Amino acid sequence: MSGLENLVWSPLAGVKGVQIFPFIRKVDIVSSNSYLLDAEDRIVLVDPGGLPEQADLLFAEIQKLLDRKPRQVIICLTHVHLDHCHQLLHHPGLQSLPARVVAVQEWGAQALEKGDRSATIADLIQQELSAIKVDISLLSDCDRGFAREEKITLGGIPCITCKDPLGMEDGSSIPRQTLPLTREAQLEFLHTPGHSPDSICIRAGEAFFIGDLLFATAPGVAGLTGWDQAALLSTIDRVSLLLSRGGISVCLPGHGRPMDVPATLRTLAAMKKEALQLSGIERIDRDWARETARYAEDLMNEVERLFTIIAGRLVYVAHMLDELEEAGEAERLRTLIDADLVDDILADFNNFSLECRTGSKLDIHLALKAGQISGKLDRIYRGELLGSMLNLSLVRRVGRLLEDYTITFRGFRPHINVLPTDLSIAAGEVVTSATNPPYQEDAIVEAEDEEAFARALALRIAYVNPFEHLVIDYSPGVDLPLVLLDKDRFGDVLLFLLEKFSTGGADNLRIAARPSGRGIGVVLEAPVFSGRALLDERSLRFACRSVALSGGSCAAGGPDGIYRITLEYPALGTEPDLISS
Amino acid sequence: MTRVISPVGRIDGATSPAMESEITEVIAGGERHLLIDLSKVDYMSSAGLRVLLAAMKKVKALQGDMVLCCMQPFVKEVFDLTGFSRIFSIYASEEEALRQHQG
Repeated sequence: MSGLENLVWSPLAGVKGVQIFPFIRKVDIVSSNSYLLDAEDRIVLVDPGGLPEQADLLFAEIQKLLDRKPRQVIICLTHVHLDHCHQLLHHPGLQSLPARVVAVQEWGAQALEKGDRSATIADLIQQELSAIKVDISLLSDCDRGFAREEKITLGGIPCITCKDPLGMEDGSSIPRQTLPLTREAQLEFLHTPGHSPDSICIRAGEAFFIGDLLFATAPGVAGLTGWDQAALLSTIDRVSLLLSRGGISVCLPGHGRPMDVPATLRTLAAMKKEALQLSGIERIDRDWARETARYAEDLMNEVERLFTIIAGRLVYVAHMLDELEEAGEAERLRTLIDADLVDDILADFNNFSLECRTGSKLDIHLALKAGQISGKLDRIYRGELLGSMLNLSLVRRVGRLLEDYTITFRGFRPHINVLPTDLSIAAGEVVTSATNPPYQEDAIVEAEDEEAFARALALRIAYVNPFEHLVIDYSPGVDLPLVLLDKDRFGDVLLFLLEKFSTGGADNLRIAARPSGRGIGVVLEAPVFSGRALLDERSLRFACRSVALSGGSCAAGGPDGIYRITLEYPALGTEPDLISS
Repeated sequence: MTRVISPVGRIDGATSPAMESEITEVIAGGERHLLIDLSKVDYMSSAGLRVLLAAMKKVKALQGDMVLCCMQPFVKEVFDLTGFSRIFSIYASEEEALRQHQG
C-alpha cells in the first residue's frame, strides 16, 4: 500500500534524492516505530523508540551513512512519551553522535530538560529518565499568526527556520515551523496537540509522520498526562482538512503499519466520534494503573468463578439430561458456551497476572490486558441464551462485571444508579430470591410438546440451591429510614456474600437490617471455628469494591467465634457527597 | 483395592488432558476403584469437571466407582454451585474416603 518495506531503504516520495528507512514494530507501549531519512546534507531520525536493540540497529544505519559522508543528524520527536524517546536519552551511540541536533516541540523540550516523569510517562511505565538538553524548541512562539524567518545554527551550520501558520480552508490554521531537509525541500513541523501538548506531525515530501495521533482515543491512552479532548478534536479536524488537500501519499504512525490517506481519514472520522464521548475521562497515571490493575485481578477472579459455575452447570445439566435420555436438549446445552475457549482466555489472563506479580509486566500492561480479555469474553458471551437456561443472577452478574471493567479501563467510572431505597425490603428480596427456585413447578406438567418438556426439565435440573445446607435467619429492621443505594448492585453483592458464607462452610447465617454507624446497615453474621474468615482477602476486597459501587461501605470482623460483614449505606438526608452517575 | 490419583495445580483446558490420560491409563491397567485426591488442586474449570464426569461414567460402566476427597475451597465451591456435588461422593479427607469407600 505505502510502497515502503520495513528495514529497507527506499526513495522518499516527493523529495528528490532522499531515502527513507522505516523501523516498524508490532503495536505495544514499550517502543514506537522509528524512521530514518537520508538526505545529502543531513540525516533525520524521527522517534528513536524505547528499546536498546532498536536503537542499536538505527545507530548502525546512521554510522554507515556517516561513514559515507559525515553530516549533521537531526533527531526529532513526535512527542516526548518514553516509548518514543527513551533511547535518545539512554543509548550511548545516539548520545555521542558528533553533530547531533535534537528538535522537540517547546512543551516537550521543557519536559525533557526538567526530566519530567509525568509528561514523559516515565512514572506510568516505571522507567528511568535522564534529563537532556534540547537544541531546537520547535514551534515556540508560533501562535502570533504571522510568518517570519529566524536564523539558527544546526549542528554548527547556520540555516533559516521559517515559522508560518498553515492556513486551512475553514479559516483555522496549524502552527508550522520548517527546517531545511535538502536545498529545495523542507521538513515541516505541525503542532497537533491532543494526545499530548507537545504532539506534532512532521511532513517530508509526500510522507506524513503522525506520531500517536491515531491512538489518542484508545483506552489507557486517552487521559494520559496532558491529554486534551478539545485540542484533540481541533487537531482531528485540521489534520483531516490537510490530508484531504492532496500532496500526501502515506501516513507513518508511531505504532503499527503505514496507512494511505483514505484509511487515515476514515480512522480520524471514527476517532472524532470516540473523542466526543470522552468528556470527564479519568486521568491515566500510575495510581490509576495500579488501582485498575488490582481491580482487574479481583474482577477477573470473580468472572472466572462465575464462568466456571455457568459452564460447569451446563455440563451438569447436559449430563443429567443424557441420563434421562434427552440427548437432543443435552447437546443444545453443550453448544451454549464455548467452555474451552473461555478456559483458554482466562488461563491467558492468569498467566499474564502471574508475570505481573513477578515484576516482568507492569500494572498498566495488566490493566490493558484485562480490557482485551474482557472484550473477548464479552464477544463470546451469549447472555440472553444462557439466561433462558440458568439462574439469571449468575448470567446478569457476569454481564455487569464485563461491562464495568470495559468502562473502567476506558478511563470512566461504572454507571451507578443510586436511588432512595428501603434496605429492609431490598435485603429481604435478595434472601427470598436466593432461597426460592426460579422455575415454575407446573411448567414440566403443562409442557405442550416434547421440546417444551425438555426445556422445562433442563431448567428444573439447572436450579442448584447453594444454600440448602445453610439456615438463614433474616431480621428486617423496623421503621428504618430510606437509604441511598444502587439496588441491582446491592443485590449482586449480597448474593455473592451469601454464596461465600454458604460455600465457606457456614451452616447458620443471621442477617439483620439495622442502624449502623452514621447510616443503615445489613449485617451478616455466622459462627466460625478457630476464627477462620469465611472470605479470603481477594473475595473481601472484591465485595468491598462492589459495595462501594452500590453506594455504601463494607467492613469485616466480629467477636471471637463469629464472622461478621457489615454493608453500610447512608440514610436519606444524611448522605455524604455520593456519586450519582 | 482403591487407587489414589492426585492431580496438582490448576486443572483447566490446557492441563485437563494430562489428568484425563492418567485416569484413562489407570483404568486401562485394570483399576476399578478410584479416589481422586484434590488437595493439591487450587482451581478447576469446566474442562476438569468434564474429565472427572467422563471418568466416573467409564468406571461405573465397568462396575467400578470413583470418589473425590480433600477439595480446596475454590474447587468445593465450584462443585457446590454447579451441582456436581450431587453427582460425586465427596469426602473431607483421604482416610475418610478410603474408610467409607472400602467399607
